[in-house]
Amino acid sequence: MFKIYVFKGGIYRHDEVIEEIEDLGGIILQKMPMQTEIDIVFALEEPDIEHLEKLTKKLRGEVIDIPFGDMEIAIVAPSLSRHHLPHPVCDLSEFLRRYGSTTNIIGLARGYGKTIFQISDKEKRIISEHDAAIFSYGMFEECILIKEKEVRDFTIPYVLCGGPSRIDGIRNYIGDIGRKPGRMKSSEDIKTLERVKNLLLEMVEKKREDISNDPLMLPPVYVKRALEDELGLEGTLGDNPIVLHLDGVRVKKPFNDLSIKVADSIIGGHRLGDIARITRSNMNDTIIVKMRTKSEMGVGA
Amino acid sequence: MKAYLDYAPMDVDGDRISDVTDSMPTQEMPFVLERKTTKSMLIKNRYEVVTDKGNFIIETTNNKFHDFFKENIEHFKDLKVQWADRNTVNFGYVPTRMEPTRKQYDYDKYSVLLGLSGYDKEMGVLTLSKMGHISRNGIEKSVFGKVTKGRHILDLLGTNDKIKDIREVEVRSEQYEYEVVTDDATIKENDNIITKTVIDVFEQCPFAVEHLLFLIRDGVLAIDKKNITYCRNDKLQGVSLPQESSLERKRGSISVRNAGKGKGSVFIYFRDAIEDKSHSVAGNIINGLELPMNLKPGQRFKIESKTERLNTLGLEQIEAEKITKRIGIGHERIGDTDDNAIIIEQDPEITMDAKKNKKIVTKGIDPNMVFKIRLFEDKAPNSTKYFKTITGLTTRQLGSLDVLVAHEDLDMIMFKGDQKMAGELAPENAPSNGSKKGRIGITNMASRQRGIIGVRFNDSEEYGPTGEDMYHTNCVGEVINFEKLRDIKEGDTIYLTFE
Repeated sequence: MFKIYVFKGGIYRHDEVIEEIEDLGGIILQKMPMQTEIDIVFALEEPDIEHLEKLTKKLRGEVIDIPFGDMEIAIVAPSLSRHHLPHPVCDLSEFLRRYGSTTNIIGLARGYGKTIFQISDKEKRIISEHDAAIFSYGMFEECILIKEKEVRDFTIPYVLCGGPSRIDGIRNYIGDIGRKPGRMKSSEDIKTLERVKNLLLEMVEKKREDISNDPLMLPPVYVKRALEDELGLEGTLGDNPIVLHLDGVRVKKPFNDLSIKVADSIIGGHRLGDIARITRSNMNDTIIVKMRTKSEMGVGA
Repeated sequence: MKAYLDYAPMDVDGDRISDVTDSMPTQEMPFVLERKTTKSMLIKNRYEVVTDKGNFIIETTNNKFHDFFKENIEHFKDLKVQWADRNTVNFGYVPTRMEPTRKQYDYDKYSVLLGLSGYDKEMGVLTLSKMGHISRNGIEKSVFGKVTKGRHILDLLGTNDKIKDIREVEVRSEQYEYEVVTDDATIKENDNIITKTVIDVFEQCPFAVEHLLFLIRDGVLAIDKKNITYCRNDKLQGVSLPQESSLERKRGSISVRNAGKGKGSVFIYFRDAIEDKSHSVAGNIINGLELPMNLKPGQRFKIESKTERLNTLGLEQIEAEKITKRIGIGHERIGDTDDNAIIIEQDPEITMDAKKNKKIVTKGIDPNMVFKIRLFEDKAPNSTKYFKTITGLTTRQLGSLDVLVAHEDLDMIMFKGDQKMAGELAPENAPSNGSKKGRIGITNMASRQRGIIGVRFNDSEEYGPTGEDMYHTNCVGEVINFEKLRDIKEGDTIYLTFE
């Protein structure tokens, strides 16, 4: 299964790194030259990375594993008002971006108040489009216990964050976050953010294992590159029109304009519409492509 | 004793490689012995569950719940879906001996577990978890497996569905060990002696196929670099190729890189790799992938293509006729049509095009107009590479040079080069003891006239074959029959082959 890495090194002889990645069957996702330095984001199968590192060490560069590089994660706050939003939500989002994730902050419409708290069906569908979610709740155990019931429906990996250090009887809980009056930059706070990351990583690894046991028809990184070529949607530093998911991609273009072209794209000898579910996203009318598994298609089951 | 030679069974008298085949492995070109270690291995604990909505696979771990499942598998074969909610699908009922509990546990997505309906021992259920959840399932930590394939079926199952069958999946995997042999080694019963690799080529990438067939024209391929995904040969690195239709690289695929520094390198893949525009897949290995997989960089192996290369450049017209007759395609001679005339042009030149066309046209010239050369590859590697690229001898048996300067009063002849390409041609193998007649010289990057190729008809202590002083000259080889070059005029093209 593909994993996402970033090469950080000099411009000098960086073309050799690109060629080696291509030779090993990897995919270049992004190149960011900065004067004499370059960052290359790429996808490569895990066993090959050892061989590539021999070359990058010779070139005095380094390869960094970005575990959430092929994920879109939702950071959910009860509301977007100042009562709930600053600062944990932004800190969580910023912290996960360091590990390659694309994060979307979502504020619930009816998220405030213990008794009236609810996540609407549309909000649930929006959150479920993501690969994982982090719910950032408040300071009170009783309140969190009530609000936790609403998140049990989610089938995606999720982490629940809140103020109390420990709450028994709820799944995937990390405490010591809650509402914060300032940035989470003390060593204690950073350790807490690390705990959130590690718990999420543990769950995501299980999901990756599930996917490798029942492989997708085509790897999402390959679908992303093929769609970029076919539809002329190559990204820039400021805009990434095709976002990677663990089991597909999100094409950030209007559904009515492009969904038929996406479905009719021939990738790896298959029509994409035949080997993936292509649906309208609930978020900004974008296109969601979820790859079917090989067993679902009757290939190598 | 029974043994195999390149997968072909044979009865052998003796236990040495020499008793099986005449050719012998060497340190440089070893053979590989393939030996089956166990007959087969049964991978257990995998079950295929057949339901009304489709099949799915569960993989189990060994614990007491798995033992119960296995012992009572006949009971489980007739179960119906009793209820299906957002968390689970439950098949019932099976009588159990499990102690009921009211404790709640955390269950992962796709877990397979046993439960009790209504905490009743007689009402055992097989539960499949559709999502991670916490519940009271009636039995303490009763997870014994996971759904690994066909998970989409879980969402389709409803209360009218039932299990039709549960089959143990037998996955038999044969284990082999490989021994690299470099001498007349002893073989055992049923050993497979792999002496060569057999390949087939694809029509989609004709230029890459031509490149590959030229590389393996001697029937040998060397491994220059190797890792777990591929091995590569860099002998033709630097040769430009057009971008052709890119295909998926499978295990055993042979691809040619068509862009970048590594263009012209040939790769053999040991694992699947996705398609890439910079790789043209020329063919795949039918037999004998074990050779490149087990050999080390620096070693070579025999390689044989099912498709013969059809390139008659440098051959006599009569030889070309014999080849075309053998293959069964038409042949037309033009130019000098004598039997002994040397072929300088073939139309179409590419093997795959020629076979598709079912006819080739060959243009011949007088054999006296073809010059035999010898190159000093060890002493002047970069100049040799430059010379081969300019003449076309990198990928053909017959090269050509266009005359730049030739005059009857001049003691030498000069040929056109490529000034841009010669920009990186550093001084090497300078004719320090004077320039000998017949030697081929190239003006190197130290001079403004870099890239020009020349041959001197008489020895000179002062100037090299291109009229430059010795420091500006790289000596790259010699023309064997150079005296005939005196008859060549400006504007002519000469043809070269290796002696």
